[in-house]
Amino acid sequence: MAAKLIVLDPTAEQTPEILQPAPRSEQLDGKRIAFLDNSKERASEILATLEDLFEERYRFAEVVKRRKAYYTKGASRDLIAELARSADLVITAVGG
Amino acid sequence: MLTSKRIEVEGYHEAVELFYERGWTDGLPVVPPTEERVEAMVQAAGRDAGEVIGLVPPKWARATVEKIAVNAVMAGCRPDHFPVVLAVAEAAVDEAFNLHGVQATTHVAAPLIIINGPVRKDLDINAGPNCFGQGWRANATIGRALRLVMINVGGGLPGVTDKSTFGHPGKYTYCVAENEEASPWEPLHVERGFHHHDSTVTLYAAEAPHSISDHPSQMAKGILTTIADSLATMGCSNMYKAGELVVVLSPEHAATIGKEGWSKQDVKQFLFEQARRPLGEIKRAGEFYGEETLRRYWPKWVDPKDDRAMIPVVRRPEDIIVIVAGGPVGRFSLGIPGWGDHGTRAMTKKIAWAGTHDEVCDT
Repeated sequence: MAAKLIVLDPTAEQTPEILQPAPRSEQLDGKRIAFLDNSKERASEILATLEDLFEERYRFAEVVKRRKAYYTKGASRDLIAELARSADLVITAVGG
Repeated sequence: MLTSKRIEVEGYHEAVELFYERGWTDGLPVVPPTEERVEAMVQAAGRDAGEVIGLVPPKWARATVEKIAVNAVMAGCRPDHFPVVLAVAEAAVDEAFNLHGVQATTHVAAPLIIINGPVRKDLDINAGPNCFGQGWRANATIGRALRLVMINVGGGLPGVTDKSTFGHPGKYTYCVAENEEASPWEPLHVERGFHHHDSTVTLYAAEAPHSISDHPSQMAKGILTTIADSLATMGCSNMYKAGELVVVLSPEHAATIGKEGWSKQDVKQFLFEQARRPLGEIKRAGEFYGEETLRRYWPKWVDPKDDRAMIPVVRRPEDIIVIVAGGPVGRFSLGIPGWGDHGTRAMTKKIAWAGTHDEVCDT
């Protein structure tokens, strides 16, 4: 009988951590909303349209607008921390 | 002590088929990574198997020395190739390279590895004829090891997380040495602050090479004018998104340019000044997005109201990386456009290499 071969797994073999989404509010009046522009072309137009639609329906305590440096990279840790501090919900758009 | 999961298979060919079934290949058969081969690879680097080199996107999974070694065996690397593979991995996971974007982009960009220093001779890394093609184990397997790490550790899967519309053949392997001996100038790694004695890898997010043919020109200006025209094209990402690009001068072209006393900086300055297109032309095509393009990517001196304004293919001369490579015969050079300014910069890392090659190039 031919000898068997033992080979090693080339993947990282990490069990992914399953994150739960943050709880959603049904009531948006009085909340602080942030719009995060992912910086791809025309993301700003999508977000501006959304902002208009939201403001027709809700009264926000504050509107924060931020923009990523590159659409090919995740938002920086500092930016995410700032958004977490300054807003109750964040809307982001992917331009194209 | 290796900690990777062990998989028992009937034999060599069964291992090859299993790795295809699991999606652990680049489409070519891999060398089964036995414990013995992986151990030899880890030993060659003299580092701890559990050391984490970095996180590989898009899974952001841990690339340990061991896991990189497994993929290096699969690629067909010899143990003495492994210090180079580790330096390549270090460059790839550096945040400034933005591997996440390179893995996921719809663009064709793939990491190009440029190797400098004594390691080139020690490991027979091709810098000469057919250096971007097949035939040399080091070129073939070092580049392939990176891609297998990107697939198996990082999870870069075509059509799933790797959204590249086309890809290009460099996604199998894309690894060359600079032909420092044929260059009239300082090699790339010395230009970037390393010593001649150092061995380095430079990683750059690259399109496939574009051949630029100029046989008649016997003067530097002629050759570089041809190259400049070939770089500033309507469909070139650099034209709209700046970033870096690479020019590979053949030994014949480099000799002609060097003989006239041009420095590498002169070459870059000339290309920066000449590789341009009028605003009016490029407004009609490519990736011109009006105000966005003007504000973000182009030099501030561009007048958006002047359709005759000449837009440079890169923002500054230093963004043109110039190396010499290729065979001794052939009046061609290469333009290798980049991905554009997407938060990626060419990364140079030193290889932990003692080496045996005694060539001393003190200048």
